[in-house]
Amino acid sequence: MIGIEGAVIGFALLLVLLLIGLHIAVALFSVAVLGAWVFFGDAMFRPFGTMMWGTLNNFLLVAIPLFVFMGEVLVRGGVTERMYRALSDWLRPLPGGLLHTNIIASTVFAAISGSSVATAATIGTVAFPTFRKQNYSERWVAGTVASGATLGILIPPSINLIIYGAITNTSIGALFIAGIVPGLILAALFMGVIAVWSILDPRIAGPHGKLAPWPERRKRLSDLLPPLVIFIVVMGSIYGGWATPTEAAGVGVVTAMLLVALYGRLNWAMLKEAMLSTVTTTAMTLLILVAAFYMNFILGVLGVPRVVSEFVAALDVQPLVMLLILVCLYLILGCFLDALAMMIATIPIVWPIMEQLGYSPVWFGIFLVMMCELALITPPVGMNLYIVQSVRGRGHVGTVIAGVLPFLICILALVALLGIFPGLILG
Amino acid sequence: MSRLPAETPFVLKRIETLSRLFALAAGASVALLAVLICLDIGARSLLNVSLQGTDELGGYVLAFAGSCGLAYTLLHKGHPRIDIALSRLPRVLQNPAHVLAQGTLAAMASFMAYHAVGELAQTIRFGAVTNTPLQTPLWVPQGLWALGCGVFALTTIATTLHAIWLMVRAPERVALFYGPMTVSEEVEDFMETPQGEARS
Repeated sequence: MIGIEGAVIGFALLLVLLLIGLHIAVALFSVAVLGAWVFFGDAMFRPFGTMMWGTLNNFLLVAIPLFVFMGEVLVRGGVTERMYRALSDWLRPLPGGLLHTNIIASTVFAAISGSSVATAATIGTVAFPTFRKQNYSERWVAGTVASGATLGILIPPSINLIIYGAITNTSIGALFIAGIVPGLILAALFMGVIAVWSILDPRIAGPHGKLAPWPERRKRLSDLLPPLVIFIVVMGSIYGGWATPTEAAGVGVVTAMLLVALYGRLNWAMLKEAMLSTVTTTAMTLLILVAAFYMNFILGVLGVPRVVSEFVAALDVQPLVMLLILVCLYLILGCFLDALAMMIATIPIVWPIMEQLGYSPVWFGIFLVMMCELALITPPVGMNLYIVQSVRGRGHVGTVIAGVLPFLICILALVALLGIFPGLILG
Repeated sequence: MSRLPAETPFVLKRIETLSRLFALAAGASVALLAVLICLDIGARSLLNVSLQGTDELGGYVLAFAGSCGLAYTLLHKGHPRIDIALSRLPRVLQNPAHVLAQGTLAAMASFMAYHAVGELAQTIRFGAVTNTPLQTPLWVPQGLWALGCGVFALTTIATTLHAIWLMVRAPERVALFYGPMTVSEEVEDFMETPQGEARS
């Protein structure tokens, strides 16, 4: 139906439309409509209404507003702030001291929220004032906050994994479980870098200071319970097979409200903000998804996935070489595209290639999310860099960029590890 | 940059009020759904009865939130655009780009509304009822969906006209209304929650 040139032209057009600043959904939609119109006239417009209803009325995707709402309630209810303080009590003595708090707090926060932006903004807001009093290297503080926040989309629940699962028909439960091990390895790598570096150059960390007295620490220890409860409730009900990911999200929302009510922070003003924010994120995501599902449909009718995978099969490259090429490609794309847009736009083309090379859909999902993590912290467009810079409120964004570099290398190292030992990703 | 008072035209203000109501209703439906899911799971595991239809209602909630939240999201710059190239352009070129973005969004929104209404019309014509225990008359959820899409289309048309008008009459204010969300706006989104006394 269409040659490889056609596919390349379509993708190039998509990039151009994105770069001239059309809304992401509109760019995807325009390419789809144009493709449909050139090859089929208006025949392929007719199924649009039915498809849109199908996309919106999809129980898998219902997990998105629920998980977003859960995260919103927990952040606005002050759960994160308390958790951060409780963690910093214990991590002080490590080499690199409080820098580890940023990573662990991000890891824990990632487990109760599916968004990196939320993680960066929340952790950053608590972190900077704490660190300024203690003479830490601002570059490292910024770097740890921005990089730690990327864990938000890898460690379940993750909005990106839900979207990937819905587009490729992959079990979201399997994706969530598969994200845990790489997420923890990555957090460990981040902490390793901090520890090693601060031994080599102790100036990056401030004085260790004294541990808070035990009764005080013990009292704050209970602030670690809410995130733990949420994680156990959500992942436990998925893993234990009692609930689908969507149902688990619903249970998570109710649990989050109860916990926040225990803190005395459940009120109408807070709920209203959380609801509006949830609806904004949901509508934003769904508009892109409506366009993406339609684009996938058109690409499928045009036979693009088959053409691309045949083209790649004919090249006869080693899987690992192909993987290397893809990593380079995603690194470049990630510099210019928003992470979510990059993921959605490339799935229909890249997934057939990976399938051809024998990778499992779950493996590719985790790989793709890690590529998104890179995109979040690569200049000039990395969203986390700017969020952290904005929260920091002084100096130049270059400091944040310098700060994330060691962590960027960690992510690449983990990708290499997963490429060589695909078994690290279950499924 | 000197910030001129950003007067929003009367029509857009009304649309904003309406879209906020829609968005709140959508948000409340998400919260209710969560409660319903919990009841369902509780009943299923403790009493061994299923409430039936939670998943179906969930789908409707998503369609409701996904369509009725679109206009509010637009007015709060929630639909993302990539501004890497844009932000480096001179204003003479930036403004047409902002107008183009609004205009193409209006085209997409109208396309969506047209097809949503078409789908709804067909549902009504056949008197379609879902083949589930709930036997939902499908026009109800689809009606809300089509309504949301319709309001979104009208909103995008209004913003496009407003953007064109601004480009001609007050070029320095186009970006204020129709530029991509700036990072500080995005961060504020997380911070604007009123903090209660409980803050320790």
